[in-house]
Amino acid sequence: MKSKRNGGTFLIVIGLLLIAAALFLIGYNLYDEYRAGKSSEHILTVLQKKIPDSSAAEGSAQADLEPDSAELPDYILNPDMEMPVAEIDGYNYIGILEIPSLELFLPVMSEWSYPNLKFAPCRYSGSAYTGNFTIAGHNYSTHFGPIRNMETGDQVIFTDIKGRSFFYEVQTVETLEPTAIEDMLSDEWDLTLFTCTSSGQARVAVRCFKVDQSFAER
Amino acid sequence: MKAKNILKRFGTLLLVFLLGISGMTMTALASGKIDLGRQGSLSVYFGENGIGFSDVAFSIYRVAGISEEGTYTLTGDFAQYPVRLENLDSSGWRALAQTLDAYVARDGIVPITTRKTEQNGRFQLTGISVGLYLVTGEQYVDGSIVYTPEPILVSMPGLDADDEWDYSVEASCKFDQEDTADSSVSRKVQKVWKDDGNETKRPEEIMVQLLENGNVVDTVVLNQKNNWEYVWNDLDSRSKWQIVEAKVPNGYTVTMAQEGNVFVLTNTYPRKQPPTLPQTGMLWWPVPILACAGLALLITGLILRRKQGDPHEK
Repeated sequence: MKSKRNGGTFLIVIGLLLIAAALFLIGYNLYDEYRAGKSSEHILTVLQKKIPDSSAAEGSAQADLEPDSAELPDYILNPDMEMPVAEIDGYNYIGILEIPSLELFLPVMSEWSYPNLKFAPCRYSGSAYTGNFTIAGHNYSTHFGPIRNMETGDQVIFTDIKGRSFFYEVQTVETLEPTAIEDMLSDEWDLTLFTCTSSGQARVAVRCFKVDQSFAER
Repeated sequence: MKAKNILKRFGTLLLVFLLGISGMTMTALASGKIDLGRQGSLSVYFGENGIGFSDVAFSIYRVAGISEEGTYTLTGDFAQYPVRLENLDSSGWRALAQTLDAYVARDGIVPITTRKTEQNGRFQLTGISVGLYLVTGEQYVDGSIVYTPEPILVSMPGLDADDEWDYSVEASCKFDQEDTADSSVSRKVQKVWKDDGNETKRPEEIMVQLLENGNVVDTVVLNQKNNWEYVWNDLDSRSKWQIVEAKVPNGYTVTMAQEGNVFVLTNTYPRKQPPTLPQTGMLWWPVPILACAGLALLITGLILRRKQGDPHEK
């Protein structure tokens, strides 16, 4: 008799522990989300000071060469060049991503790793100069969480460390399996932003084409 | 102004080049096997607007052997260089020729033969065995204009318009022209890493040698701090300037391509992808499971206690 009663208490204790674990996880996730938001905000502030005004950037792109060869920016002459980086707190950043429809401003790290993704979205492959630029972000509400709600025609702007802006327009938003690496890196698109679905079981990919600035400003 | 000219010329060259070399990249599509015992002839032209440049010395090197199916394998002195011969497009072939040309200059590799162009700007070689050949020429000076022939890679046999193997190959030398009235030129080197997913294999820095007419005159270090690039100013415009990567990192291959004033030095690591895309989600999925399981256990426990507890409390 007593053992059954004890069994009931045992189940209650385990049940409470599980509920506590769930509450702890919720708390941790919310804290982590808040921390990630603060960290990218901080990086953004520092980064913005390091990036020159875009209007002055075109001329400066090749100012280190002799003046008569400075007619085309180096990234057009050699799109495969490494993207210039700015170092902040020991991490390298390649620029700033802006999504006006979501009011998102985010720094983009040069290389991806799990620890890096906790601070800011990271370049997964390609570059703004070659075209098949792919950026991965954590699905924090302060990072790439909201991109699943983007719609065709939404604008995305990437500004590199030298202040040169690249304008993109969303073409489609699709869901891919975690193993669909080739699909994700398809060079059909100029820019792809991706993050996990809320379950973490698949990836949301926002596919964009490059547009010129005048078109983007309409 | 000058840059524009260079670009314009480069555009035309590229077109000519695409037409000229596309045959080499299609070897795999050609019908029929290569007759490995057959000897062919090679004719090279160097000139502008139908006027041949005469008395220009050319060196010919055998870079690779060729299989019956048209696959190349580096041979002789060239076997030591970390370059790739597979899956090259036209600009890849052009860069490969420039890369090998710089190695030849730095390491003083001896050509299998040398020839001088005749009055009509041509020279001809006969009785050459099948394989891949590097053809490099010296500069031709006309007043203050210096014409530098681009090194070219020629396949023996080549492919003709009908995709048949052709054992009498004709090649036309593309060139870069520079006005030496400007007494100095500048050269820039830019490093490109093609090693997605293997960035950890990348060394902290690499060394680049600047060659003036084949002699190493400067060595610079490229790293993240200088954005992997370097500019040399005030170089003698009458010299031939090339670069070589002093030591190519383990596992990487190298190509060096010159575009106008800029040398693009590319190190490639064979691609190896991680099996899945990064996990970019927060850990939300255990929350409902933990909560539901916890609630279920709690309720079961309470029910058990009530059931067993009731008689006691009476």
